[in-house]
Amino acid sequence: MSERLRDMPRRLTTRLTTRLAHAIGLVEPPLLGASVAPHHTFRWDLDKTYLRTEFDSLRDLLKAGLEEATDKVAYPGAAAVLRSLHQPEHRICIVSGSPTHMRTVLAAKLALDGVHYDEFTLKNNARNILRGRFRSLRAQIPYKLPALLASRCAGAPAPRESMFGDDAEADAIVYCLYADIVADRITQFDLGRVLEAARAYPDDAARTLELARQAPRGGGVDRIFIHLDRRSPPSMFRAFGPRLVPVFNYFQIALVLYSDGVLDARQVLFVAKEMLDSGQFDVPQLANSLQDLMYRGRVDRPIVLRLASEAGAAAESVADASGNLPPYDRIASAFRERVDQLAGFVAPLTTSVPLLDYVRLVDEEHVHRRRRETRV
Amino acid sequence: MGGDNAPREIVRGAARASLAGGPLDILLVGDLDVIGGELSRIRHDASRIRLCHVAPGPSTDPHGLPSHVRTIAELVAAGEGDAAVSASDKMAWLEATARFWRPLPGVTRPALAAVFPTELRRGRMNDPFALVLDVNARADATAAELVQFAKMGVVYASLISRNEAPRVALLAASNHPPLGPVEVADADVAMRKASNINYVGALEGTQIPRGVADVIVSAGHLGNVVLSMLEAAGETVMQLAEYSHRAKVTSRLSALALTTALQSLRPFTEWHQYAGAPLLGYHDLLLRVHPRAGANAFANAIRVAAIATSRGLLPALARATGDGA
Repeated sequence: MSERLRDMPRRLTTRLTTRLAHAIGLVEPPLLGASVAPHHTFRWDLDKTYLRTEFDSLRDLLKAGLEEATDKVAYPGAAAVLRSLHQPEHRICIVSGSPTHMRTVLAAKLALDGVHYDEFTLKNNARNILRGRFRSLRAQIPYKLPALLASRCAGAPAPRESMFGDDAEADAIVYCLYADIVADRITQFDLGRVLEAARAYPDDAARTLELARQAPRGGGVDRIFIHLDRRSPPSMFRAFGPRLVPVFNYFQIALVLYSDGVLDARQVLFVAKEMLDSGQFDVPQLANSLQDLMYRGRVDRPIVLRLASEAGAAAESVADASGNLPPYDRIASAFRERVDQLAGFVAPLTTSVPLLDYVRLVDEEHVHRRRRETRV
Repeated sequence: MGGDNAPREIVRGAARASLAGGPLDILLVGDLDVIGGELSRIRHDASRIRLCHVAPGPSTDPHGLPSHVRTIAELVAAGEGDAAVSASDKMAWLEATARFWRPLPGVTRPALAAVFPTELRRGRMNDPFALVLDVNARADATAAELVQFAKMGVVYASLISRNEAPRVALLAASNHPPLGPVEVADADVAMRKASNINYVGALEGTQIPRGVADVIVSAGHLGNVVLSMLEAAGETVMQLAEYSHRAKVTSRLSALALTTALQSLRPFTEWHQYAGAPLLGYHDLLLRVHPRAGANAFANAIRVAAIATSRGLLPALARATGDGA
């Protein structure tokens, strides 16, 4: 019998085992970093940031796990923002706490929405279960932080990064911690204490510390957007400093990105259009969202007036019989009205990024989570 | 802002209403230094809340109108809002609406209404509140105006409580025959003849809490006095019950046994916490909230204002009053 025939059972078993391992999410695709440093990296969470997902109860978890791609619903405007960020020299990396076996359906949903991404990391809960690491099934910091650091270590890092999360769990803490590591503002000792407070397993903590040591420094995280899925009071996030922006919807994200020079006026207005087309928002709500950002000092009056002016100019220059364009004139008029009604009043905003007591923040997050779980 | 608990309870009420969903756009008018600080500390949906800054300080209005009352009245008159919700001084609002709002066709005197909880409920909404109007202490009314109040009250009750045929009564010193000024007697005759009013006759003040009528029509000063007495009586009942709790042991034990029953009375004795009352007769709507009201009352009043707008209250009032009083 030839060598090839004798080896067939082993190769067949390996192939079947590998396919099964991929299907249940035990094996993940390798992380391929950027070969050329992008100009700007955007790091996204998925559930409750991009997708409207409920997982507070077992029933919700099961439902989320069984949904098809077409059943999954993105927040109005989220897909438009992500599509707008897909530009040359931009890199889009998704790190989600959803389990790896959901990769196919989540990738299909992103494809349906026309969203491009460069990295897509999911949580290997199959491996956690096999290793008896049940704490890891719900833990967020010991999973997300090393995933973010590993992504930064793989390939050439961008000088600018923006991050997108939500207020359901610990995204604000994880992202700020990551930003402070990259900015060299946190020591290995302090990071070790944080991982201990976050109840990371010793080997996971050691791996995170090593990744933090290796992660390229320089550049930094410009913006951390926290989508207020639970409608947490914005003042809860004041302690995290001005780089963290709590947002009520994706129009607010688009406005801040416009203010930062990442998106242009046309892209912002098409985010607005997607939100209007969803039927869940109207022009007054978008204008109120803009005013809220202005009041909180997150976008300046000149920026808003420039956007209103560009919307007005677009309304004059383009005739739209098909209804495929945003309602530029109504938007421009509503924006100007909101600016007037603020009468120049803006809430004070601190400019310096504070040094955070992450151990205290992690402890508080654990308390909040236990309270929520008790209520549910 | 206005009221004893401004701005905290107003902002909290608005925040609650913003989270309830539905097509709603709430405009908060006042000192944003205070309003915004309060708002940032509570859960709310910023896309449903608009802010209008009015600097604090003495009023610049030539007639002394508080700045925020004037601003709200002007904004609503300009179409920036469909309704105003406020706990500010009643007289300030009567002045502001008279100056800046257009009266409905045929309306010679707007009616300030109040709601009062009754034993019997009404309409598809199982509404516990009867509508009493006019309770403006300032003025009396002619017979024609009393009939107009009845028509406006019927429209309000039928749309808000989903009460298809609200029972209308005329407040009088005696109900058989109706005793009071000649205007009351003339209004009694006119209402018996009116085909679009389900008139049940004259009503004495003591019958209001029983719920035998859904809309109680009164001249301003009388309505105001009766409402004030009913409000005070309710508070006195609760205070007496609590006082007995401090007396003899046997009284305390009895009061303890009645605790659940007494607590269930609270919605009726603290009713001003749960509802807003309209000013009817203009092309715009004002819902006045009790000055001591809490966040729940403001949230409810905003909800009622939204319901009134969505159900076409103002066009319906215009049709009712335009028919000729």
